[in-house]
Amino acid sequence: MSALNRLSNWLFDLTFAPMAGLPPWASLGVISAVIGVVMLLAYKYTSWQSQIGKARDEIKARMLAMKLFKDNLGVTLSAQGGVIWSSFKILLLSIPPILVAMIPMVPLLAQLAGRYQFAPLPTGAVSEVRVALSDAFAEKEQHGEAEVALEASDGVEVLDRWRSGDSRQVWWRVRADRPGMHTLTVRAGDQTFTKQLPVGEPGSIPAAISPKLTNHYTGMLDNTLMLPWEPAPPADAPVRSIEVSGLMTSVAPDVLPIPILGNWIVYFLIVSILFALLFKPLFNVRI
Amino acid sequence: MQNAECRMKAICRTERDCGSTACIADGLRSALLVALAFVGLVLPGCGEKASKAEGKKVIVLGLDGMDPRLLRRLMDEGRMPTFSKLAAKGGFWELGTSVPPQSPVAWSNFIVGGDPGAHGVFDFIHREFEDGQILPYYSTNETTYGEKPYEMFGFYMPMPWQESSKLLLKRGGKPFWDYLDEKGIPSRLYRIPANYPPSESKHGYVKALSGMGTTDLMGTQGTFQWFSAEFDDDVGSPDDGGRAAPLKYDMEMQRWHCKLAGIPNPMVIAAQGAEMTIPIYIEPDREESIARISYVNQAPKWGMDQPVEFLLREGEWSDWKPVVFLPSPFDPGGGAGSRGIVRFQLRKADPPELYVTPINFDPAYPSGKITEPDDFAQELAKGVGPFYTKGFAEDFHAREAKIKIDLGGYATELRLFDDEDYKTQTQFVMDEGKKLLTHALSEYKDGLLFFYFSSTDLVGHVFYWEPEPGEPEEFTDHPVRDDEDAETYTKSLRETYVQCDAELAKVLEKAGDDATVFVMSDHGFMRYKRKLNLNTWLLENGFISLKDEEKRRGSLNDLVDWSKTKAYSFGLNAIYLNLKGREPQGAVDPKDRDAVLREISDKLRATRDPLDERPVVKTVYRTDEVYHGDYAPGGKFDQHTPDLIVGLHREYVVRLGGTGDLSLKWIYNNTGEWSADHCIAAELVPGILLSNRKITVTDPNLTDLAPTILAEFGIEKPEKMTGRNLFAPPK
Repeated sequence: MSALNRLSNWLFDLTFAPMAGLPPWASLGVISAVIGVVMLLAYKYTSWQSQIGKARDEIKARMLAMKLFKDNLGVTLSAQGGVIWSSFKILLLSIPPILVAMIPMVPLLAQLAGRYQFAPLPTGAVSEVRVALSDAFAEKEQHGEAEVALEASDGVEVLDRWRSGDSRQVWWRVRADRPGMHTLTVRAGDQTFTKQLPVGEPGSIPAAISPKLTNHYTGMLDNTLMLPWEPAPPADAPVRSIEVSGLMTSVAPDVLPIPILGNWIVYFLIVSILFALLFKPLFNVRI
Repeated sequence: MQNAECRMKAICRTERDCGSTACIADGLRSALLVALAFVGLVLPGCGEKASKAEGKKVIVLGLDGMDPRLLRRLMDEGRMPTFSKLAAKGGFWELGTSVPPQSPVAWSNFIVGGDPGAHGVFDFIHREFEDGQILPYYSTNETTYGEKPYEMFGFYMPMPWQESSKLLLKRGGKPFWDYLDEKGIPSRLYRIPANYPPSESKHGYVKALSGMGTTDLMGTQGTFQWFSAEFDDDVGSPDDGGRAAPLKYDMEMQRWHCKLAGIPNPMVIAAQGAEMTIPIYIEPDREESIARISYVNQAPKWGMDQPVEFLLREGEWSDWKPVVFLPSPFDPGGGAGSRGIVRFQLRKADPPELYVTPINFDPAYPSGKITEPDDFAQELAKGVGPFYTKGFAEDFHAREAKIKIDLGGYATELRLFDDEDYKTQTQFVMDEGKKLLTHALSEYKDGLLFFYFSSTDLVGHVFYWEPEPGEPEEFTDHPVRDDEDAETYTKSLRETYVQCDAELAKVLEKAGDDATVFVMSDHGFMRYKRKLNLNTWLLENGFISLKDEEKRRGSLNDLVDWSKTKAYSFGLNAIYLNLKGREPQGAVDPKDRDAVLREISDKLRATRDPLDERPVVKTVYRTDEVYHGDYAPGGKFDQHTPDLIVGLHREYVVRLGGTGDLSLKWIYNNTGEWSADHCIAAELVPGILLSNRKITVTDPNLTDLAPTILAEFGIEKPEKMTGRNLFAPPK
């Protein structure tokens, strides 16, 4: 799986490299448009187009029948039943292409989330590095048998530390003094765990960003799948999660006036659907 | 039937013909619909009406309470080079202020171009009558209560057709920007005082952010919250406003907790009037003076609850944090809840003590009307982030707050802010103002730009201790500070003035050579050492009678025998006759009005300070002589107009009347940190006026600015304005 993640990361880094200079809304716009068209083609070749076309024709025919024979109750009811049945058929026929599309879409959305859901920490801003410790390690730490510490690469200053009464939570405040991708290293006993801290203006860090690494998730939403660009601590590690606060959502709020479009996924859906509809007649796709 | 078959065939033929022009058009149509929906969503936020100002610019920088003597002193010292430059180019004049020289009155004079008779704002505090009782309200706005909601299953259920409570702007008269609005000239007004809720722009050319008078989310003029592990359940309220509540320790969770009070819950009958609260948790570190503060905001509408967690060191302030009060899952307010913003100061880490600012509106999601148009608030939030929206942003209540507690059998007085805390907090307000001004200038193209700073006033009230004319330049005899402290803190006010110089530089840079620039203040300042209680004075001079001579503590409603009372004071400088036909229990016949007014005026003018026989009152203004317009005595709306305004000499100030305590002496020493004021005789505390153009009148007044601004845009002075055009050629 990690090899697949590496491959996925490499592919997406490569894809985004030419758009490094673009503002986030523009690069996301381009990506969304391309994905919309690619998904349209994927839909075409993974769906039973002739049957979808037939069902759509049936719907139109029955709609017309309802209009023409609106005084004939038998024809109207029969046509209504036909419309429902044909719609249901289209729904069933859509399932295989949707299932196929999900396979690339999950890592794709994870990659997009990493690049557009969060922005780097602004230069000069103070952030909290929130580390959750395992119960066993927290007990050791509380009794002075083990220590936990944070080190930051040049350009990030560690200001102060706070520990909860039971030591399960240890927080540090850090100030980002220099733009760039910085590394935070948490030392828990003799083990070390790293977390990346992007600093700079929105869109200035071409790599993906995640606010949190955690080994709490299981199953489908495992970090391996959803946070592919940074390894999470193993399940038995003394550190359960590392989270960085203050990585703001980005993309649309700076360029579009409507708050709802500030959510990158809404923006992504609108642009990708727009382009899919635009190219539908050119590629002769029945949806 | 044949026709129908033909149409069926036609459709089928078209569908089979995919890729044809018709089919492509079909696809384009679908895409166009999505695009139109997208554009339809985006465009409404982009609209800005085309200006008809034709590039003409007028910029007004309003500096509340900037004192001409102190300003002159700093200019002479070379510390305000931009002010000096502006004065050299146009001029620097003392600006005549309002009667009385109180900010809501003075700014209303500026807004309508007339005296209080034109706008009906006479004091900070006005009175209204309800069931024969005299009740106070803040003079420039008032909340009216709507219909009682229906009761169902133990809940109040407000229905859409029921009249809801409303917040009303009580300043009367027509603001000068309405005339600009009618002509298509844009006005941008930032923190404009005496305009909350903001007046409506009928033609869409006004963008206004309300300033002084804007309440907090609770609807008060500022309720801070103070939590301490040293308070117990019956801690009571601090002496000068705000709230206090205990912090309690949870052994199991190893953390302290308290409840942040919000707005009353409008729905639950059993708890009608009870506030919704947010539990706040404080977890101090085991060894360091640092703590984690956390709470959870319930999510309005859909979405997940939002945890808010952050660290603060002892003495440190947080940035703005959102707080959401949600009446119920079936929120009648459209699911938005009531959202505000607060800043926390961790005063002590362990055991903790916490200060929370009054709950300000969140400009990004305002729960009340603080701007005109409504979305101007979001525009500002997007430009500068969250900021103090409350009118009196500088928390002087926290500076004066104190609470008596019992510590191990010893009575101890706890104070909230010290001078340094107040200085820090007022600097936050100043810094936000600077950021907002930078944004305002970047957005400004032409028309009118008005921008207001409040810190020159509210820092002045606490820190101003300048020598009076003729005195040696020494810092002596401060009521509560030693000489060194008096000097230190009046210097911090001077620093505030110096910061204004840098802000003026930004304004002048934007203004260029063509704009007309005014820098003005509503009044000046004067220190004081003695306080006057007007109602006790009226009592001792036979104008007020008591029901029970022994009972002097409480409100006027409870204490006064109205049938024998001739006059009373309400607010700061106002005296009202207990006039038959106007007052609920009037005792003075209208035909005796003049005689009683003369008697009070003569006695006030003859009053001497028992300490050193100095005269206390400089001027007694009869409102029927100094006010003009519908709100002046004899006008259409004179029901709430006072009869006399008392103008004190320097070194004196009036204690708040109305709800005043008649057990206090009529004159006594000031022993509070609030050691400078301006609510005295208007001629002693003029404001400032600087302009890049020379004016032609010798005695400019606040009321002159509105007609002058209109004239700059080619609009003739409206009939109701009594001010003059400052640039008009002398007759």
